[in-house]
Amino acid sequence: MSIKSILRRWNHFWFEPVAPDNLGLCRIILYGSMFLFYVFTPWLFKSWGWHEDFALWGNVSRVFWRPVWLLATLHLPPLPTSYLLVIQSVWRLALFLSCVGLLTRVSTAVSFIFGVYLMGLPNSFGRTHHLDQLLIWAFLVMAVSRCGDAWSIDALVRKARGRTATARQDPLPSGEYTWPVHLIWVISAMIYLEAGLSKLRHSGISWVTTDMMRNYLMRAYYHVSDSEPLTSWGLFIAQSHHLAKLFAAGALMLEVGFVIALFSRRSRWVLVPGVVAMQTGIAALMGPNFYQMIMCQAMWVPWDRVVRWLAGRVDDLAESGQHRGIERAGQVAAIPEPQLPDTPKAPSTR
Amino acid sequence: MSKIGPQFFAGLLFADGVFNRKLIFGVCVLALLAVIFLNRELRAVFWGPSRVASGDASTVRPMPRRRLLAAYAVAAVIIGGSFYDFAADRETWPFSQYPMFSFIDAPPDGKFTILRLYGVTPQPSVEFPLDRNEYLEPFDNSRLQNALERNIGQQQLAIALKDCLQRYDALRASGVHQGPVLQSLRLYRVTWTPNPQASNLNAPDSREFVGEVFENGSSER
Repeated sequence: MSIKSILRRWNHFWFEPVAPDNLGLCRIILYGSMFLFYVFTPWLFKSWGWHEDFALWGNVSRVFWRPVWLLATLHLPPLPTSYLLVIQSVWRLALFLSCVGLLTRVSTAVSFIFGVYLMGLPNSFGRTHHLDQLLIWAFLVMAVSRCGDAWSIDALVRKARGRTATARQDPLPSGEYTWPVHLIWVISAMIYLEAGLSKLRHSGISWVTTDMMRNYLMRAYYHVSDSEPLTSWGLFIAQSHHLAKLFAAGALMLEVGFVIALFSRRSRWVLVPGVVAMQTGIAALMGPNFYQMIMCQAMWVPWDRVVRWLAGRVDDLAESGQHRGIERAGQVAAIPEPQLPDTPKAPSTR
Repeated sequence: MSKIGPQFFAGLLFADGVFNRKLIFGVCVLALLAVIFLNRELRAVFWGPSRVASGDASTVRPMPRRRLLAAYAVAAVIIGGSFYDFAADRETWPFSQYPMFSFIDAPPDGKFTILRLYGVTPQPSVEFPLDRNEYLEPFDNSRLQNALERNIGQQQLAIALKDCLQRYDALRASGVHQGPVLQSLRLYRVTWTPNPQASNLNAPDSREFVGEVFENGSSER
């Protein structure tokens, strides 16, 4: 294979011209789910939802402050609660506007910039968690992309204001609408690959063959994690050395092998639900919840096809309903009127 | 010295005698780009998305060159930064090498040691672990350990413990938790050998006293 053909394939992967629908729908799902997540979890899930309320960090003593690299480099301090409340409210509003696609350029940029600061805050107090990095990168990609070209209020406004027929048309297919979604795929695959390779680098195959996973599972029930395990099944698994090792092997294979999903459509049917199940399993057995990462896996779904399929189903149902109606009407028309003996016919009203 | 001599270039490549990986990484990327751009055909393929075949002009919109470069720039920053952190095995948030759960940091029996805060009630004086996250939110058990560990052996430990005690009281007053009134807060280094029933959760192998802070503001180490 020549370098030229590799580059052609490269171009096809990143910049294959497609309609803007999938990117627009991905925008709705990403920002919509995150808006709901960050607004409602502090109220709905009292035991861990407060993690998503960043304003709480405003009254924590500065003795705990160890800023992460980006906040340290930009000399961003921890702001007081009143300021954080404002920033958080603006951020949540930006998430909503990004979802509906109103002022999409500005709202996606605000979602990213304020999101970086807000998500960097907790990580600057004690320990860096890895729950939201994929989300931050997805926000950056969306902010640079033209994700507001379809399925957005901006697009509706543009069409309504369009003076020429061309201006009122949907945007033509373009590579602009491919690279953002595929870049989020690549970042997702990279994160899992690095997580898997880190395990092999620091522990080697011993990560699977020793009781490491069993120890992690048991330790989770000693209240050491950011969230409590959702179930006590981890202790059940820890009773069996072999079962725990099997889980370790499965997790490592998924992490290292997830990159295959970039190249094989078939493998996506296994690998994407696989990592979602793995991360749900971590929350159930060990506590840490990666809900933001789980939601980002929704970018693997071809939402434009899903919507087309749903629309087709609705059309089919409506059509078959019409047919049934016509048939029924036909049947009714075909039923001969019962000939009742000695019953005089009603006079016509016409 | 008004001329730029070979020392400058040597210094650029081998800053302070240390092989500068950042620079080499950048040089490699530039070299790759140079290979692409020096070849006319490769250059044409590279800019391919910004052109359309004549027959597709009405059905496909090409990407402007600056947009193409912007897409590459975003990808290069995110992927390049992450791989650099991976290569250097370091974490510069939001870049990371994603080291979670990577280390075998326990002996075969799984014995582990953590810092844990205990509340002490007044009359009768009873000690209980502050092991529920809602006692000290927004800290959780994972973050709090690291945050406290960094302050051990420093004057700041008393301030850190005082902050935790005030936080406990404030969250109690606002109804976030129903824990008892405290007269002091103690910090211990606690060791467990875990078992699959977690039956020794309240009976650790050992506890080593680290420090204490009282409601009246005094502290002890």
